[in-house]
Amino acid sequence: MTLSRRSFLSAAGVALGSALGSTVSAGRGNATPDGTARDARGAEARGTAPAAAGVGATPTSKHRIRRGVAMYSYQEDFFVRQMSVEDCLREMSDIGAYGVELLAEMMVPNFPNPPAAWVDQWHGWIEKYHLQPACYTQFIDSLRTRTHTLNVQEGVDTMLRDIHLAKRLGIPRIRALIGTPVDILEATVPHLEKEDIWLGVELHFPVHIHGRLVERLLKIAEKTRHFGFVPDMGIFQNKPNPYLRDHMIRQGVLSPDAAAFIENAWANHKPQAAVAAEVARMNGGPAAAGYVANVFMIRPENPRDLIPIMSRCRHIHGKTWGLGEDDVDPAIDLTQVIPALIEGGFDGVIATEYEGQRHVQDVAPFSAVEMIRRHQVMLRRLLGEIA
Amino acid sequence: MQDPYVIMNTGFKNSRDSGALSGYQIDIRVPYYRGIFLSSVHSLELAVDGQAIAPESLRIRVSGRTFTMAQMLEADSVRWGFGDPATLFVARPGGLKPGIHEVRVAIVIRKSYLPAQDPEHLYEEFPGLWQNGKYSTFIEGPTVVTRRMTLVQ
Repeated sequence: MTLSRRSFLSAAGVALGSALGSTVSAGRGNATPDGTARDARGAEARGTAPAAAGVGATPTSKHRIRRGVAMYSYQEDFFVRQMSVEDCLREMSDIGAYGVELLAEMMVPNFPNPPAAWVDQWHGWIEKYHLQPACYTQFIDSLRTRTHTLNVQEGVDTMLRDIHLAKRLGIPRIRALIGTPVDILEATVPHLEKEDIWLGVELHFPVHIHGRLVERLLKIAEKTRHFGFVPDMGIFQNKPNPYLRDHMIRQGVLSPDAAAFIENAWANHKPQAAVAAEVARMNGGPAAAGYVANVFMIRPENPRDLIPIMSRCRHIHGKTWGLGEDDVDPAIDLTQVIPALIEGGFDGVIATEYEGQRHVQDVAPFSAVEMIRRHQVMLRRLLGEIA
Repeated sequence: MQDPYVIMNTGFKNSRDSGALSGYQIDIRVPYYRGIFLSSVHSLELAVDGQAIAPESLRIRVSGRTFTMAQMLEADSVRWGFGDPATLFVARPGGLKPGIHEVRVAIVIRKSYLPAQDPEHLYEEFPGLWQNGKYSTFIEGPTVVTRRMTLVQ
């Protein structure tokens, strides 16, 4: 498919922009890059109540998948001081999402050098709420100024900044953006091995599992057990995002008729160019043209394609833009994905990453807690914790 | 971060220099879900009551340090923390009249989600990045926020 730069921008801006764009002092906790088994044992060893829940999923012999939350999801509640860091952690504990993915640049005071007292408090919260630090959300900021792009050494220095903070906070894994320059990643590997931190590049839309980028990154992963992937479940989006659509309709930039026409045409495999032309003829406007591009970019990856690289995946972003009261995600269907993760032996945390805040802030602000809870119910069902 | 929170009404006031009203100031927050390097501000435009403010008349204070617009673009070791107010200073002898004013901020944060170059052609499958044999990443359009708010003094 070819897209103009502008239409890609307007269409993918939501997805890319929000999440691409849109997680030791050693000796603390159970931090170890592939120490998920130790994670579980640690919880049991403490004899705490959640151990019965196995730090996430029921510790059946069927799988080793545990539930968590990417704290990105709580950004609005945290920003308006409706929820503190501790409130977020307590909520995660209450819903059995024990795997914590911290977005340090949002929540760590005086980043990247938090006061020692705060670090102690963090470890106290982790202990108090029976949580497991799972992942550190990392950002490379490679275009540091308008004219200066980080060289390899500067990139490694940025990685070391985050590796050291992750270690202080007992977090054994780091998520890197899919756009992290490959030469910086390669130069970071020796530091990951030395510091015993695992780093995974986020497999984020619009990447292809069988594409060149993943093939190239696999060459790095084959040489070390400290490097791999963090699949983002947005690559399995199989339906238009109704929260985006409804927001555009409420804004008056997309008519309900145009939206229905576009979605029906997409579902019936009509050619994109013809649909775009028809929408233009309906005077759809630039936003409607963007919606055409957005919808026609939907092309879910095959979940089974993850199986061959599953041993390289130690953390997952459970992306969602929202779910109905029936706990069904209308846009990202995981019913075929979770079985593939289980079959592939995924051993790690699926961290719910709620990205729908901006779609509903005009009608349902502070939606995160409820939507994360619905996503967690969906995960519990798919993981076999509940019927 | 949520656009409605970018412009703050607290902090909106005239500023004085040696006792005389020399201009006015407005507090804003970074329109993003994390703190940034100040140099990640790709562009920043301010208009008040429909009048664009010339960049030369504008300063920004972050973490206790004040920068011109040109300095801001190079401030690659200064952190503008998530939720932390940055103060915009506008030079205007006499300041603004008490009462309602319309403040418009257009700001672009350069998010570095994609690499600046792609020498190995690894991102060809990403729509829009490679065009006519040339690779370029995109900069998002500006976050534009308008707020009507009252200045007291």
